Amino acid sequence: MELSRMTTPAFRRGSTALHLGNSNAPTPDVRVFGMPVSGWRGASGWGGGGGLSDVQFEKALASGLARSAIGGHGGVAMDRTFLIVSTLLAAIGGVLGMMSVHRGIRSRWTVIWMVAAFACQIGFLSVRGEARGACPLRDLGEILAFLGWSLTLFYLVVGPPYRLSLLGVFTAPVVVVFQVAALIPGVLGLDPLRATGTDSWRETHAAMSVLSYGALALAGVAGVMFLVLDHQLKEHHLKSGLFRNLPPVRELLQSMMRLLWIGCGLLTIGIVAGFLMPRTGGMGHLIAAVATWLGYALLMTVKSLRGLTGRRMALASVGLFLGSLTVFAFV
Amino acid sequence: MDLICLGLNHRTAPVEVRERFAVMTPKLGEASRELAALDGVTEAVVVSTCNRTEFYLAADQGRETLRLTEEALILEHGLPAEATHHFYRMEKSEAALHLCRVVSGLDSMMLGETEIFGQVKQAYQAALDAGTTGGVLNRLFQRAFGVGKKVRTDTQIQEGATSVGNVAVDLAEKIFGHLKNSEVMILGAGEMSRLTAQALVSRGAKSIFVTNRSYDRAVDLANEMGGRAVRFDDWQHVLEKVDVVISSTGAPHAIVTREHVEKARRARKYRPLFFIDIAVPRDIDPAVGEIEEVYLYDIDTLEQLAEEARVRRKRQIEDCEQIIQSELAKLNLPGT
Repeated sequence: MELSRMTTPAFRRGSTALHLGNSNAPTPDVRVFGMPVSGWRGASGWGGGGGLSDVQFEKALASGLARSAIGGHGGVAMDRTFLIVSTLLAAIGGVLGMMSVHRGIRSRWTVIWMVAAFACQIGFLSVRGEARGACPLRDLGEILAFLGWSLTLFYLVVGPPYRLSLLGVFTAPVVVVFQVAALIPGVLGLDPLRATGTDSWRETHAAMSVLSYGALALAGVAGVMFLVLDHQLKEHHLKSGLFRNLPPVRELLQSMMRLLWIGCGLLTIGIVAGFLMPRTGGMGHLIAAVATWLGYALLMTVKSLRGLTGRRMALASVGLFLGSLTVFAFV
Repeated sequence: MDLICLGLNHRTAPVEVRERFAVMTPKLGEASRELAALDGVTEAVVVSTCNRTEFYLAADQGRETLRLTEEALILEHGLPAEATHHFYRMEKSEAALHLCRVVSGLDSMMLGETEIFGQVKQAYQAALDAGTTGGVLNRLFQRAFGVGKKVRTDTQIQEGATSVGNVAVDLAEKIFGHLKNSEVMILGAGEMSRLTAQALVSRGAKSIFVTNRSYDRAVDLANEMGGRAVRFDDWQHVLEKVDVVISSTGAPHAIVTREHVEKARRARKYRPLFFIDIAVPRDIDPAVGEIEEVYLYDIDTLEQLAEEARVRRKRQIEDCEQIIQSELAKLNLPGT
């Protein structure tokens, strides 16, 4: 029988969608801060309550239960549409914001574009969440989209209330980059499989880790804004529209600290949950995740106890975020 | 019904003449009432600031009313008839255009200044309360405020500080945001320091420390500013807690060196520090500006920034005039 021929170990390691007649690429083995989150059937060695046994897996395939709850490409098209629209809205907001800044006018509309982009991100995550029956963090595309959502969320929480409207202009391109990466063919699973049996620690670990990324990414964005402003103030280049619209040095530094505290707090929860979730396999990714956490913890400790110049603080936030992205991509 | 404007300003009259015609803010309504009581005058608004006094009137016979008003003013202030040479007289659309220019800051001594907008609004409100405005002046002033807002929104006529003191304050706000949590130290109790520190205090600076070689002068200035005097030997300790340092001593050499600031950095936890050096020769060693968290501006840089802002504002005049002309053309104001 065709079904039995296809349920080989190689197939079970990640190309489930192929034999269901769909054209999407194999779901990558995804890790957040070095920890796997995509093993919907425990194939990556983390096993336990979140995975499926071979028998369950074959039954699921035969009955079609493992297919998307939203059913085929109609629903999938909807989630991708949400993501594409959200990306376009963020891109338009960013471009219009930059044009305003270039003319020396405060970009009041950026926040509106970002709110609209945020609504579409929620639409995307809702559709995917419904399809998965779990937090939509099961493939790299979902994680990147979730990261874009998290970044936008923190911008909306931090930006307008603290008069950091220009933060949106700097945030929008980062959101666009994450979401465009998610939309690259093969990155976002076209037909998300429903997770049968979830583990709360795994869910907590994945969600908190990616949320922390959002806060830490925004701290990096604030760091870039600080570096631009610091350079302009030091060199006495005070004529540009960008200079006029950038928030004050002290407010940028305070926002950076606030975001780092939030990010570190969420990351701590994510890592603790990572330790508590059922797992097997090597420790390399765990060490990398903890190293990232230690980097941020060291930065916060030095800043709080000894003090740190704004420039070093900003460079560290940008550097640590980029470093942690590398961990995320390659470990 | 004719709209007329009679007035004098910093360009047409010296201060000793302007002060004779000046009307204190609480008396603006009363002055409007007196003018409205003149023969032929149906409506009146008196605008008075330190640089101008202007009378906007609606009258049946414009020319005749202008002559009568001048005579009444000369008589009331006990001035010789030649004093009328300081007046400018405008009628109909010219008067409306003038009011729009005044409200937009184009007729001000400091081009594009924003204070005049509020002052004219206050004058109009006083006349409105006194019941001396009607169909002509109500429409004129309300439209002029609209035009003034449009000019300020659509152009950069009010962008950038045009004096050294204001440039320094703007920079301090760019670094520290609200100044209510910022502390300031003045090194040298000179006039420029005083003016700059006053500008910082007016924007909410939390506290001022004054130090000077002559302690008595430091005490005097500290008392005047509501701050604290510090002996000259102790300024390095104060450096550990302040955010802004304004320096204008008469010393022939640098007072603040890189070593002084390096010593204070750790105690300051490397917080941003803004140095304003308005002394010639300079009080602050330029090497201080190389320290990461230090922003150093000397008098030349500040003056250059102020001049650039003045030039930028001048370049905006033509755009502003075009906006005023096109807005007035749409309005069809009564009395013009």
